[in-house]
Amino acid sequence: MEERSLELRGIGKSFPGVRALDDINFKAEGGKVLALLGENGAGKSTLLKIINGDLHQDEGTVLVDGKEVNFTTPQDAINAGISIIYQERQLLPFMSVMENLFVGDLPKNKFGIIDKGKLRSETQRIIDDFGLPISPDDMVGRLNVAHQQMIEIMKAYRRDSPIIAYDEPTAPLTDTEIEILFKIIRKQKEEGKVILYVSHRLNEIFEICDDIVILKDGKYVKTLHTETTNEKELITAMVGRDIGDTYANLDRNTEFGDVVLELKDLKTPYIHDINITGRRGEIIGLAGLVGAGRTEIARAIFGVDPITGGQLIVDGEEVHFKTPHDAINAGIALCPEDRKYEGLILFRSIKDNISMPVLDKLTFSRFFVNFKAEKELAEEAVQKFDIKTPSIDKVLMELSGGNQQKVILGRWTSSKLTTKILILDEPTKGIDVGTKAEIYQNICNLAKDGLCVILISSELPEVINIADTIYAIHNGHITGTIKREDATEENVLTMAMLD
Amino acid sequence: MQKKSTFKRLMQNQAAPLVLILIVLLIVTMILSSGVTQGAPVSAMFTQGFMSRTNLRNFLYSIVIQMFMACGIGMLLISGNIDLSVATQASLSVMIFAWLHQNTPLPWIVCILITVGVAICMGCLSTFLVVKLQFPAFIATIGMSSIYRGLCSVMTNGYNITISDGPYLRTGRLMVGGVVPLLFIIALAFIIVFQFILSRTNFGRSVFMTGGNRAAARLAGMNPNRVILILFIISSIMAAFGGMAWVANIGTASPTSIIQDAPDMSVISASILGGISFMGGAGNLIGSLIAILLLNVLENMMNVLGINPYWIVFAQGALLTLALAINFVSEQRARRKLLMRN
Repeated sequence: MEERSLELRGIGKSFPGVRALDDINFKAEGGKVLALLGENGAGKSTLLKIINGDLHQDEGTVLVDGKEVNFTTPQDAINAGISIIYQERQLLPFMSVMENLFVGDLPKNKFGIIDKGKLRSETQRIIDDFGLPISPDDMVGRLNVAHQQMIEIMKAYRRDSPIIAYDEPTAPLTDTEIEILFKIIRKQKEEGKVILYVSHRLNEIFEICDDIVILKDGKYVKTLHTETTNEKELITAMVGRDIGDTYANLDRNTEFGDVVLELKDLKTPYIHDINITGRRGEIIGLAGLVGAGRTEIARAIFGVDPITGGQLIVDGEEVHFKTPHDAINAGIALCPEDRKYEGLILFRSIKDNISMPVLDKLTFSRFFVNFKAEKELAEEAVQKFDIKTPSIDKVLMELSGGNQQKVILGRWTSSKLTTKILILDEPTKGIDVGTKAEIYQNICNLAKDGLCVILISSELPEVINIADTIYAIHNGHITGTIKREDATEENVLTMAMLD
Repeated sequence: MQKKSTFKRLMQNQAAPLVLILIVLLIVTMILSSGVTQGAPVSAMFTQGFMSRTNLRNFLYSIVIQMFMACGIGMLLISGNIDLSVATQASLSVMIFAWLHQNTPLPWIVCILITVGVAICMGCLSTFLVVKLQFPAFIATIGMSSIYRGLCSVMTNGYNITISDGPYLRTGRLMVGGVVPLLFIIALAFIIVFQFILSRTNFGRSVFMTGGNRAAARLAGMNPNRVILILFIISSIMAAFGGMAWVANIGTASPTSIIQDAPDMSVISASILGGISFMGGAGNLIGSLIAILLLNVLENMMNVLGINPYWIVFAQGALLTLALAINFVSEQRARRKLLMRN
């Protein structure tokens, strides 16, 4: 069999305002499993999207088996022998296992009709290779998520592509399926295939991978070999970045008041036994990888997800919120992670977006909007957070991400609200560096005003340099607590990544 | 900021092109219908044909039902919902009203109130399907529409109910200044009041916010579900009012005539044409009113020109498709602009 390879030379990709990938160089060879490792936002997903033709690089070349390729659609990549198993499953839930496996390439008989017998027998052969307790006729939507994920993996296996990339394949799997998956990967490796393996789980990487490519902030850092490296070296390589003095210059709050928020063994379907205490003026950081359960903690506090156990105590009283409205009345505010889809009404003005939660307090006879009071409230926020806009009637869509975020901050800290606890979920996502520093200072100022701030961020330096107390979250559990003075990226990442 | 001239500001208003088209159509219709082209004096265009008392009265009567419906449908569209059962709701309301009016000794006002009560129930039912069971509004209301249509015919086995002469018909046929039906003025008042509510009250604001981004509105402490409930109820009541106004004019309640006339489809066309976004979150009712006038003047003009009525239906359908296409393209452009930015 000829030697297979996938090589990237000088790959770069920019999105407006963000340099997602910069000069990425590495070569994956057949018969080896290459791990891609990096923090959230290191550029792994963008890289995979370029490899499969979903995105096109701005500079650099992709070489398959030593020949340059130019993919414009994912179909091009599939034709060139590249299969990617995505985190998001792309299955047809109302179709059977066999139809899902052969979708787009169903075996036909000489009359051009689908050959069910052949379809079933070939599917059965694949299932036997995997050794899973499912039948070709099972409807995919009825299978559990682990088996659905395995179907996704079978699809790539069925195509017998020479280049296979796994993007966090084990997230929904249990140990049984992980074992099967590794058996399959070893088989593919023996057949000389090129295998890319993206995962946050270090123990898996050590078990199945040969080489590890480390990415950081869209740049290639180095390649390590599993035989000669260890977990500590990996984490240091992932983290090792310069921290400017943005954080050193922050004017911080140093005096904490009474306890305003207590979570005691709080449970929802997504988080387990969460214990957090927050005081007035304190900034609490929740660190963890994407999907660790940080957002879910915020949703539980804000009355979005149902609480199934434990206690939520605000200002010394146990509370049971049925809707976000109840939480807002109790003095809790949430700036959601996805500010465009959950936070803002993009086609409405700054004024309209700021007054939303307090509109009933800005009325004549409880019904008619007091436009003057509303205008004053919006102007107050524009001034307080230095929102850059010619007018409060400007539509949100026309503002930059940073100014949009400031509008949300303004909404939740207006004088008409009695916000005590402010939850910020990824407040600096997609925001440029200069505005980020401004937002950090805003957060510290809010703490000075006596707010208890809960800061959720995937940017580790942000959490460990702004928060007073940092909780590491992993798999819906708190896996460690640390004060800012003692926190380093290494020790927080270790707590957030290891079981 | 520089102050723009009044004319420029008027032209920038979304409704401006509609008003211009309306005026042109109106003048053309007035000229064609009055026989000016066949040698009648120019002054005839203000007294003959379209502008004759009878025609003007009939014209205004014919759009009353659409005006009522425009209130409910318009606000539902702004909130990101749709009600496709409005015509059948109107029809069922009419049958119930007519039955009560003819077969019970209840005063006509009480008959109206009971009918409104039934309409409120229909609105609640739609909300239940859309909010509690989370059906898409489109599917839920199409289903309900079929149920109501069936009920209409079941009530009288398909027969019409003729409303006997009395205070109801007399009130419904009152004219202001001899030409303008009282019902037209009531419908106009409803549009103005609802437009005022939309633009000036916190409820109105929450309608826009619900349509703009339901999830964000909820996370900002608003109650989109309550907004949707109120809007479906308003829509059903407006449908009932529209139906009862229709009967006051015609004098006979038929289980099928409103449904066949499909005023709700004209109203949805008019709403979109008038600037209400099909995706929700933007628009106003004055635009709908202008578009209703426009569509109906167009129909009147085609009648005058002796065009086959089937072509009129065709033309209205083409207009709706065009309006939707324009709406969709501009919406897509805005969305793309948004994606480019971040």
